[in-house]
Amino acid sequence: MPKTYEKIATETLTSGSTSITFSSISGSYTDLVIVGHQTAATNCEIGIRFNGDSAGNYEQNFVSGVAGNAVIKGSNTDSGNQIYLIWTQGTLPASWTGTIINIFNYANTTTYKTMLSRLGGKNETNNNSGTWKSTAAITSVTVLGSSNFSTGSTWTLYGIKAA
Amino acid sequence: MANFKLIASHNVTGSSTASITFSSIPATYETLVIIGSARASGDTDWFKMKLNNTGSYDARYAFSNTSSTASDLQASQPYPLVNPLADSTQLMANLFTSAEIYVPNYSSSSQNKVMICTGGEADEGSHTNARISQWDVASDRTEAITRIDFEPQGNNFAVGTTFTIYGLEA
Repeated sequence: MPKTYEKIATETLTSGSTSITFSSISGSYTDLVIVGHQTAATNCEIGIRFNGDSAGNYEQNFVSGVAGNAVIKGSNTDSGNQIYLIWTQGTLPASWTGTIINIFNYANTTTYKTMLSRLGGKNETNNNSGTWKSTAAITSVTVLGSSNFSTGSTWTLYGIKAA
Repeated sequence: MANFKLIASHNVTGSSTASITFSSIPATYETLVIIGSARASGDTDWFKMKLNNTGSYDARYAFSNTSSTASDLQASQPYPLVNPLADSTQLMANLFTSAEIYVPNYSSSSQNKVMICTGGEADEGSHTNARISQWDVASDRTEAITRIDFEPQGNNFAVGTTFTIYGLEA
């Protein structure tokens, strides 16, 4: 059976860190998938950047559910410097959360890049669609925290191969 | 090299069933992915997902939900509701709920487990029961997951319900 879903790399923290980066990603897949399992000791918002670009080249739409509140939905079309996977502080501390990120057609050099993410745990759910306004092929992905991710937090990057 | 590897599949045939169990799940993968297509035999709203159903479950789970109409949070629950479930008393015939569930790092013996669950169903009739929903669940237990049980919140899984569990190979 041909392998269609390949693990590219896993990053597991052995000490606290505010970011992890998958770099030197080859262009030999059709799409990328990141599966994460993370926590933090203090309030921590999570975001994602591509190719180290910290300029205002990101936009997104989101739907989130938070304890005791109605559904939160909205857009960030103000040229943010990252795509946020989580929108309210206070979720990560003392609880583990899971993350699924799909990055589509990441290696092409003619279109802006799009992604979908799902992130949540016991305190809230988050669904995002994001755009990186660049036609460059994605060769690195950085997962950012507004504070340290805790030891043991882990992310795995997969590539989906063309059939 | 990694791949989606089929671990097991359950199809409900002949008559409805109260639960579907995947047992003896090997620890050789990094992430479990479960794909489901489900319908209840009678009145119900959701289905449950239990991890390692071998003892007391008091206060084992907490979960949050965002659906197309509302959000909710439940703490200290004996089981999590993880997905809408097509209700045969309200929805058209042959309508099944879809479900995709990720369980990352499921074989860890030191970290609390989480489940990312996305599902939904259409309703060609009134549309009042059409839903898309995400449930994110955290368990307070750290042992490796070796068994998963699915149960309707009420009644049984109808004939035609299928659940398939895959392992994402390391």
